[in-house]
Amino acid sequence: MLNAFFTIIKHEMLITLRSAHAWLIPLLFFGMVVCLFPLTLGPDTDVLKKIAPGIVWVAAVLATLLSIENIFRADAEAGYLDLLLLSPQPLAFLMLAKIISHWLVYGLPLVMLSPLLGMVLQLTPAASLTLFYSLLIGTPVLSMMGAIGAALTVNIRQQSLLLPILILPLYIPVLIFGTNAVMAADNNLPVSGDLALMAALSLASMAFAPLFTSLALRTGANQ
Amino acid sequence: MIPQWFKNYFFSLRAFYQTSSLLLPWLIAAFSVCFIYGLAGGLFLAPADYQQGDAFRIIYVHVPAALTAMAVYSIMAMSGLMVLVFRMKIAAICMTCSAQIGVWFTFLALVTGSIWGKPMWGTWWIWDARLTSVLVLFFLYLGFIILHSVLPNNSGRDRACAILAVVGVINLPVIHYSVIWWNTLHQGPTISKFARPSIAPAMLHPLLAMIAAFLLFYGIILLTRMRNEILLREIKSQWIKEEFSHELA
Amino acid sequence: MSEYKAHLQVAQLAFERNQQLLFSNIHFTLRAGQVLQLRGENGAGKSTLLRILGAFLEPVAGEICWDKKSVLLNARAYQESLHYLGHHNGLKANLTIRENCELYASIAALTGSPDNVLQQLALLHLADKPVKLLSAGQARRAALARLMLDPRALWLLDEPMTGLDENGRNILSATLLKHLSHGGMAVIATHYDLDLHCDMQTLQLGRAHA
Repeated sequence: MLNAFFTIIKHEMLITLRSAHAWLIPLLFFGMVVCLFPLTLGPDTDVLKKIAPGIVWVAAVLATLLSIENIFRADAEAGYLDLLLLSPQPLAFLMLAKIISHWLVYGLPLVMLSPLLGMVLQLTPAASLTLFYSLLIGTPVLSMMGAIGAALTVNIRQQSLLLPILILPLYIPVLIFGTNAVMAADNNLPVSGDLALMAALSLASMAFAPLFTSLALRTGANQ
Repeated sequence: MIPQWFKNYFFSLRAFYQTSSLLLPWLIAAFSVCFIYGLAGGLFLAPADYQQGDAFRIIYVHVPAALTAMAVYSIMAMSGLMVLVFRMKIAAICMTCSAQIGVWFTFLALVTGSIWGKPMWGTWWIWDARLTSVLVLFFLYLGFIILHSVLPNNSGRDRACAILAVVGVINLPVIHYSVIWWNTLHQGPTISKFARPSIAPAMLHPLLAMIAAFLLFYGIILLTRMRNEILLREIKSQWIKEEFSHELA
Repeated sequence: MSEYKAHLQVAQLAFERNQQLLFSNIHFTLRAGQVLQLRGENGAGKSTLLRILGAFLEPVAGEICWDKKSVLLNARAYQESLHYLGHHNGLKANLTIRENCELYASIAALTGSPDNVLQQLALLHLADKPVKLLSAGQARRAALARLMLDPRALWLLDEPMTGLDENGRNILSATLLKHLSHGGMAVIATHYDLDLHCDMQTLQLGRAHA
């Protein structure tokens, strides 16, 4: 079972690395959206500092939603998803592997870019570091919950914004805790509370989201 | 866990249809009593509030609407759970109809909350914890309804929507408490006017009556819509022909 | 001698699409070594019936029993005993054939190397080529690899001959006959008569169905 876990992760990453542009696109989107705000709101340092956590987090959410939409689509079209459904291994476990590999390819780059964006938005180094940690702990939640939405909408033909509509309300706690951690760091307040709460959300979502994702894939709702 | 007589009266489509025919008149009667008392008490009999004047009377619509919206979501999620675990058709119908009704209660709560806010704070919208939570509930309802309408009509649709409802209800407390916390961080220690003040009995009793009235109203509309849905689904079956035979004759 | 004990029983199966009845009253029993041929025009519901048999879709009415147990209530165990080959090959386009076999082996908890199977499929020389660079017929043949790597009792094949050249068709027929001789069974949707020497039933979908 563990073999399947790591093999899936390895092969999923192989696929993405072979089409290099795939993971680059959400990353560039992330960066560009963040850069739009100084252009629209002006370069005033104090203003940017204040809104930086919110902007970076919302941009990360948008970039994740862009990429998570397709986590199952190519597999469903290729008939590969059926193989997972027919497997003797627990589907939730296979889903966990798939979502983790998705996060490694699409979420982790966002996390890596975030301190740079923090600096660009005039955050202090301490706050930028907290931004990095908050995204590191929080983006897995985005991928996990997003996967549930992707599983529910996997075969819906029109590429509408249905998935974001379904999943955005569920992102609110992570957004609140994540941005608050950074704002606390900016004011030299302790951040461990927020980060701990986010870690709890992260672990809980890793436990439950694969179950719901596999349940959603088995409904046959979209055929 | 659930007594057999309950299952006999409610769990099959046909039994539900027949039981609801008997229940509806009583529900309508109870609703009328509660509603009239609640309206009369709230609009006329209860004294004007010390701080807010007559403007406070909108709580007789706002609070019942918000409570009903949340109750309906819980019922929707419980029905969803029964769809997933027991594959019950009646639960799927209850879930879908509840969503369609609940979204309007949520909308009403938002609008009345907004109207209440104008004399209170001078703005049409205030980002306090309760209203924001109701707004999130509104989005959850809308998401459910949209998913239901986009998916093709087969048994998988009910299960998919049930999953969405259950995931939503699990997240709802998390969202609610995070919003409350967010609110205390940003608004400081000002006590919201929506917080529970000690409330005089003359004001409280009509409020309770209105809450009961709203819940009964939900029950009435829910049963009516479910009956419609049952008719639509079972239109070709024998028992429907028997049921309406006296009209066809 | 048959390795597989269970058999498939289908009764009164019906399915609707967009409130319209697609097919109804489908009955058949399939035992070890038997093949069911699904015939019918385009749109008659062959693919849909195969997906229902694969427990990916639920029928509107009727029952499927595998090994005398209802499939609806016990879909997981049933699905572990079947192979499904649809219109799409179930291969990841950006991976090579060998990598696809590795991935499948880990998902299906298999051990051993796929080389022997790839040799039988005449694909060994292409084993390290990404699937997206293969021709349609080569990819279809590569899709057969999992049927041969993973022994499962029931094969559900949706127009498996599509895109295969004569060589490919021979390989598929040989594989199928070998599977049947081990006591396996198959439901095959096809546009033209399968020329197989085996115990074959035919189910015609469409306006006049069996």
